Amino acid sequence: MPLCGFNEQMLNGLELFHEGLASNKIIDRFNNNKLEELERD
Amino acid sequence: MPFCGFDKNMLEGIRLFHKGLIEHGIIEHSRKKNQMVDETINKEIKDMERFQKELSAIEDLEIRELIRTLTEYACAFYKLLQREGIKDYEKLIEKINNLYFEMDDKFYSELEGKPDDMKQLAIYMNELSKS
Repeated sequence: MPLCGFNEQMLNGLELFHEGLASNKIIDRFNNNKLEELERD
Repeated sequence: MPFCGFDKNMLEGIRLFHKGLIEHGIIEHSRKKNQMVDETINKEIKDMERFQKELSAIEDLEIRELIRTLTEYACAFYKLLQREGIKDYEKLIEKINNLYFEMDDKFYSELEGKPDDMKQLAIYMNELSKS
């Protein structure tokens, strides 16, 4: 938070969370769609 | 989140964030300022509410939205901490992680694609938070 004072642990936590949001659903979904496209071809 | 699918990294990230909010944001600050935990929590909540009133000055809409929701999240977390008490905060952190995990699991393993899936999930959250 701006005002409670971020420490390194909190920033690491947010980094893991953001990475998970992007890779877990967005990139995985993109890769799955690509695989399906390749299988159809 | 209900529908993004929590993985282990994300749950660990949330755990670290919650831990920091309590240990750094509240316990350390209370010690440094020599004040009661409740006073520190109230001060943090008030500061974040004051900050939220100024957020329209942030020009980037997406960044503004991230900051707004993150401060709202922290405020909600601190209010829950006030209600539950700081004594067993490790248990509280574990409880919230379990809540998120169960919410996600319920959706993906049982409800996804069913009519009223979101409504059922919201109702299920009541059962979870009572247990």
